[in-house]
Amino acid sequence: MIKEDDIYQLIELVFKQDRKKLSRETSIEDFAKDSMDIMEFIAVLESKYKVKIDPSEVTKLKNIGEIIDYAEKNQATDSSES
Amino acid sequence: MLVCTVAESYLKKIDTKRYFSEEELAFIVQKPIESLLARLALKLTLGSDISIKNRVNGAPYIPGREDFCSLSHSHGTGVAVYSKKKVGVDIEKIRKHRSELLQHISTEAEQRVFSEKDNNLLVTYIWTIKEAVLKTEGLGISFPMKNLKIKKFAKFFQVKLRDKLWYVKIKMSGDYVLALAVEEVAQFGNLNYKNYS
Repeated sequence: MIKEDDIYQLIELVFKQDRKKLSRETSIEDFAKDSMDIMEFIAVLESKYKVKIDPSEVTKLKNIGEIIDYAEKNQATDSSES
Repeated sequence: MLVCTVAESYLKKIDTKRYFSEEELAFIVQKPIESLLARLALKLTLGSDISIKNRVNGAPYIPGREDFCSLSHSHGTGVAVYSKKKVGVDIEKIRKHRSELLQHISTEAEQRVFSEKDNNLLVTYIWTIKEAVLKTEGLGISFPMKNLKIKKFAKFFQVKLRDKLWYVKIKMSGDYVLALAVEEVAQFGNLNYKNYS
């Protein structure tokens, strides 16, 4: 199962962010500069952790905490990190 | 059709209060600086006194005008396009991307439409084309991009969105790719570009 720390690691990896500056309250717009950045993160999240993200839900996610909660609820049950 | 790009460096040359009301600045301050650049581009095109509002779906419009506008921003640059017919614009800085993004938004067959070996450029072409088309209907990343198929059409590209065909022209602008989506190819005949940097 995906863990909270996995999300932070992914943000560090994709956006070259300092983990110490990130929290559940950090806004997505603080590290994703445009919609292409957001979709790149979603693509990696889906590919690496098999989280199924409904495109219509993407714009509703506003901060890291909401990404974590969504990922935990929407990960395929037979998934493992690939 | 008017197309205007504004670089972040241009902000040092102007007094933003001349272009934006307190209400607009209060709205923009919650968003990335680039969203101000896109709005500034539209005001530089049409005049500082225009008001720019957003529909429920986020698409911009100018109250009192029947023409169409579209805005986009990316990493230090904003762009606005204004036309008598429906139009969509997207701009993206060319940068490194992970391979997952290309797979997420396109098929391999579609990627072959472009004779582009550089995957960072390829994914930027595909993204900007699809995003510009989605913006014509006030849609965005909430629409699954893989469901859109790009075809070559003469010097342009053609994309079908909900049974309607759109025509897209892409233009390199420094480190950026700019895509314009229109209803009729003839709209590309009277393009007027301006750049502020």
